[in-house]
Amino acid sequence: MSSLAIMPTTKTGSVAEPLLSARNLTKIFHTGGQDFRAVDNVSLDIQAGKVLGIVGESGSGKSTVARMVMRLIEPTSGQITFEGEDLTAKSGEALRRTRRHMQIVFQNPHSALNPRDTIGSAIAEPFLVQTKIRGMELERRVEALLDIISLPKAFKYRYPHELSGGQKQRVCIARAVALEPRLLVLDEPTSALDVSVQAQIIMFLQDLRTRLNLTYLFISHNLAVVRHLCDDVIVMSKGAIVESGSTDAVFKAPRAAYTRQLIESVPRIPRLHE
Amino acid sequence: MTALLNIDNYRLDIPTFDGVLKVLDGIDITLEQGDTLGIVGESGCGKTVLARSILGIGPRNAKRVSGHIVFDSTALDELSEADWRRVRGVKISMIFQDPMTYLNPLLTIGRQLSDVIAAHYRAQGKSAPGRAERHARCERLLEQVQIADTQRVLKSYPHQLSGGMRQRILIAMALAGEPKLLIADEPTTALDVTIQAQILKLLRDLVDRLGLTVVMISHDVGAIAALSRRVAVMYAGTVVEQGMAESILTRPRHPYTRGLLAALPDIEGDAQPLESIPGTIPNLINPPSGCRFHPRCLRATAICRQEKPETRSVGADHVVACHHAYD
Amino acid sequence: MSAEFQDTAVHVPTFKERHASTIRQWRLYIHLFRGSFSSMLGLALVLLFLILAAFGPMLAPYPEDTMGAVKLGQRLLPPSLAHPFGTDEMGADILSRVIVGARTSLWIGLVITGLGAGIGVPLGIIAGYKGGFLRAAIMRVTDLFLAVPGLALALAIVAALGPGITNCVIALAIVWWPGYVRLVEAKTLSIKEELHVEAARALGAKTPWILRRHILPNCLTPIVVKASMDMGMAILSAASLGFIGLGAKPPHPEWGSMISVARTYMPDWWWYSAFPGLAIFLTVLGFNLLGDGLRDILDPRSRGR
Repeated sequence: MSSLAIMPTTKTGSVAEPLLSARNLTKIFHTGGQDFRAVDNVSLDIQAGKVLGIVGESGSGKSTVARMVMRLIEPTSGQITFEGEDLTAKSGEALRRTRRHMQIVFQNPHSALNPRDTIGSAIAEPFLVQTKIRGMELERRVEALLDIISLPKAFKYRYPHELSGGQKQRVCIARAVALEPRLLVLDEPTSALDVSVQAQIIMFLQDLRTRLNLTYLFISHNLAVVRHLCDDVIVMSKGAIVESGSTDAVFKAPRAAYTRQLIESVPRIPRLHE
Repeated sequence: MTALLNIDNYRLDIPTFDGVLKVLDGIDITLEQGDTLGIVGESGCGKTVLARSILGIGPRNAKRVSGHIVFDSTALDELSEADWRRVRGVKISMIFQDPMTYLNPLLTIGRQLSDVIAAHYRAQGKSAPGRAERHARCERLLEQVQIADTQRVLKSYPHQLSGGMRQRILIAMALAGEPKLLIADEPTTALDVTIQAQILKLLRDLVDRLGLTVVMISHDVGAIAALSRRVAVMYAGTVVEQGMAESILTRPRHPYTRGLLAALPDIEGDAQPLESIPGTIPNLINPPSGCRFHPRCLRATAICRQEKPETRSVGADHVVACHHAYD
Repeated sequence: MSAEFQDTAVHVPTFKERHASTIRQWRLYIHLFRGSFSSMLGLALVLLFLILAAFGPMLAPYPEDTMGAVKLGQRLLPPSLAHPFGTDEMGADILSRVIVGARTSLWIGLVITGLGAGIGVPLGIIAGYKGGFLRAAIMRVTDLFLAVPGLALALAIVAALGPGITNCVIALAIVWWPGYVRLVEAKTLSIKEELHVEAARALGAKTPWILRRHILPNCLTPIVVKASMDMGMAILSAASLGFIGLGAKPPHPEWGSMISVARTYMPDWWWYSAFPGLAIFLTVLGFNLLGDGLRDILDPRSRGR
């Protein structure tokens, strides 16, 4: 039940200010007379330019944490600091403006896109909602984003149901980076995708991070993907943090029994002998 | 010894508004009694259509173009509904991905299990056993799938039970008719990784204890590796590689299998960079000529475009369909 | 750059290419629609109705009869070549009056359905999306209206406002809107939970934006289906009010009021009520079949593929 904060140090040994910092986040859902503690006293830090992973099984609360960080769900208690400012205290127009700096990619690309909007409209939406960019300039930006995700310009006129899962997810990523955010929250972005497509998306995300100088909060139940992608990791179970630390440390020498059980449950594949 | 299940050059077409989907293009799969076969592939490879076709519950307007499916010396292609009722659940059973949608939310587990038992009896022309007998059988079935608290579970409704428990119950229902073959279509995909490990272990135990033959369909190579002694890799309606799991996973010969395995991040984390397969899954209305994988294959040459590769043996129980297989 | 994605191409799209998706979708709809006999029948009946409504006065053999010509020498003639539907008690040609009556019925149907949807849909979307007190308030008022049998309520309203076709239409529109609220509120509740709505909120979109762009367009399918079936029912209801004498007043050629007058001439002069009745029957049938057909093609779940 204790909160374990991660404060990785920079090379000089001093503690850098994290891009996002959460303290004692708790979320209690009141459903039909019963209270359900989805998240219990979770604290975390994400340093700029790093990837923090949250792993856990269903019901662990990891998605709820992601949504609280994005303020899509209001925390019952706790505080979130983003870019040095108190995010939990913001509301209205101030909160809207802050949303430009943090975006989210969801798990299910099939329902994350409005079936009635063309891909071009979908990618234009962030600009239409948050900026005054219109007309030719908007077209240019949309095409530039299509380029970044390696989709042909003709896809502007297509509808989501005509795209494959991987293509749809790329469109969602384009929407998320359109406004040049600093933090990208990824909620199981590859869970609904095929293995080879998952690899494409992961490599794309790695490439994008360095190119656009992004910071990631990566939620997943797939330990192998988290091991591959994340610098630091938090393990959650039933709403609380069980263990946290750098990915290497947690995976090589897990301290908590639950973490060990999780890692052991993953089926091993006898590997290629090159 | 004759194979328990023999799928021989099976071709299936599905007519759609946009054209004819050539969804299965000459599938050859052999399965012996007591074997565990994992069919692995990504979306659109046809593995689910194949699994359902074995039981005759494939897409309604699908047309078998050629080939046969033979189970225990019975051809499954031209069975009547009455014949099917003697096969489904009794000789061949199937479990599916999401246990919640396959259980009736309005009936207790005991009732549902009991109904299945009664149905099997009636299908064989015998009258259903009495309530006490059925209750005893239900308990035995639950014990078989390692559920301890049988009384409580029999009185429960599906929504009161966890995902893992529900999948166990589905397995119990599938075993009610004492089938020889169990087809499991993505049985662990919707489950947490710890529960997945339990279910895979349960399936392994059932294979050992009951001599059950299992075909497991999955896109999760890990789950396949955990359960299957033999593996068939499918791509775009064709079987590209088939044989002993150990052999295929440690020394894949087909470029697609290689690509698939290289795309998997390793939990042991040896920091190998991921490789992905270029391109996307082909459109099955106009599939690529010759080898269906050739547009995405780094080793493709002219012959790959012209001729569909034959299936060749490359070792003891290891076959590949490729013009340029790896050594 | 990312060599693993290989689907880039450079080329300026034509109109056809830009709308290729929509064109394909429509071709699919037409194909499915054509496959169903009842849908095609419904479409044919509705088209016939629309043509009559549009070109009525030009098609009527005796246009002067449509607004109360008095030709007492021709009273109550049975159907013949000169008067295929016979004549009424004023000597007017019933065929001409039925044809022109189509226009009245179309107007009635459009206004009632239009007003009903125009009031009901926004209320339904707001109730579904906002939830809380606003939703409770809207839904309880809706329930109140739905608790009273539609026609009885319309009767009461027309009795208060006075007979006449305009009041009849207003009364029926008031009766009609709650159905749309119910339908749209339910659909909104389910759309609200979809990820693209959450994604829009994550972008910082305000509620009007979300309602306009994410909720409303995805509600259209059930609204279109209901509206097409409502056309028939609205025309029938207006005819029913007309039958009781609370709708159009003679000599206005409205089918319901025609039957109302024809009542007293039954059964000897049967053609007077039979043909307007047949017109109502075919029109309502047509809209119902069309509505069914539309639902079948627009709702992917009810399709067999």
